[in-house]
Amino acid sequence: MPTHTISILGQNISCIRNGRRVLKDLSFETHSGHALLLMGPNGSGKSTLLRICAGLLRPDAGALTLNGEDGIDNPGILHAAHHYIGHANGLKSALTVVENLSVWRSLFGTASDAGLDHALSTFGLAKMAETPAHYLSAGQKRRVALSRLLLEERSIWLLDEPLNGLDEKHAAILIDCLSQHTRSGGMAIVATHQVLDIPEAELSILQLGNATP
Amino acid sequence: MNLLQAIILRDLRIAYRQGSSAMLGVGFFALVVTMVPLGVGPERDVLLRIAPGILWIGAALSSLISLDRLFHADAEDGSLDLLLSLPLPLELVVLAKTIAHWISSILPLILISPFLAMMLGLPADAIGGLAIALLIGSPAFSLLGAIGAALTINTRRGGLLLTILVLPLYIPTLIFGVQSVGAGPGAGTDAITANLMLLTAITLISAVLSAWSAAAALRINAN
Repeated sequence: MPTHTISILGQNISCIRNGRRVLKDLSFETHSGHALLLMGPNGSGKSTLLRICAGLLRPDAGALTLNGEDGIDNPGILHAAHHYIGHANGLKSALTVVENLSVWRSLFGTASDAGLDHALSTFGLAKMAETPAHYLSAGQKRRVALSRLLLEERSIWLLDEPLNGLDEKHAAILIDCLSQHTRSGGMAIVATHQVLDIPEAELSILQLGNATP
Repeated sequence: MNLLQAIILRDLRIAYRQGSSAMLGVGFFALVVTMVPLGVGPERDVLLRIAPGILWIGAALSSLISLDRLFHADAEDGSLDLLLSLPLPLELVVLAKTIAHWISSILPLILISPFLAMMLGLPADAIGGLAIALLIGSPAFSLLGAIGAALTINTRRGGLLLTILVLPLYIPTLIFGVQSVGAGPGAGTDAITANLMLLTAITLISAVLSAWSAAAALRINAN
């Protein structure tokens, strides 16, 4: 049995958004080398669950622990361990691609120039490095957002429909990144509408339905 | 500290790239001040008496222009999530963004204020006094404005609501700011010093008030 270096455990999580119960008594577990796919129809609470795991949203009930430590009253431990890429890309449209990346790098407080170049080249952004983000297509913007994952090594990746706008080639690159990430002991929680076939990763699917009100 | 600096530089860089926010504020400021002599007539005595007030009100209104984007822009493009996840208390994030706002939007106003003051016929010593008073008092505009910006982050057309929320908070700064320009009759050095000290106090109180309340408002609204 492999030793799990990092694990997230969610127990009986409930969340009410705008008077509607989005998540009801949801429990899940994920750990190093594991990719958890959140699936379900629109409005089934995939994004809500991701934001809870990111420590950006407080559930109304339930417990969430990272390596046994409470992550709800102390979201700082979650913040330090994850990359969260929501459906908004977090790009500043006035800045160029490379400027956006270096802003993130300065906020992470780490990463060398090599890390930045690696992030740029992996997602095929080198050619448009000096282009203001404003002029990029939706898929290109998505690629810039995803390149954030490679700027700094963090063990938890929280991705909200990462394939949105990506062409086949770059979807394959993302899946490759996910595979490498899980192989090297990381974990990923991915909200998605199609089953991602991530090679060599332990995959499981958490099916979210419309919780009854 | 490094992180604080990183946030300030980030916001300054974005402001510099967009260019519009600073220039809009400066243009608005110049226009408001220029229109007053056209409205009240060119009598020198009248203008001299109302000049400090006009300049301060102009600066207060101009500083509001870019305030509604302070947090709204980050919330819209998703980068607020990143700022909320930094290993830095949200209060300091707010403070850093406020400092960047002051540098990018209010400092340019202070830089052109001597020229506008000259246009209104303010004497040289009063112009110096105005610049000093603005330097000390105007950070309160950014700080108090940040509270309004954080409160209205999810509001459509939040800019108007922001104006109504924030302008009343500007009143103390306005009163002591105008007094400390010292263009009034019989204003001695002592009176000016006292007013400048009060202005300093208001700015410092605003700094504390702003960091706490804007951070609290952001936490509630980000949910």
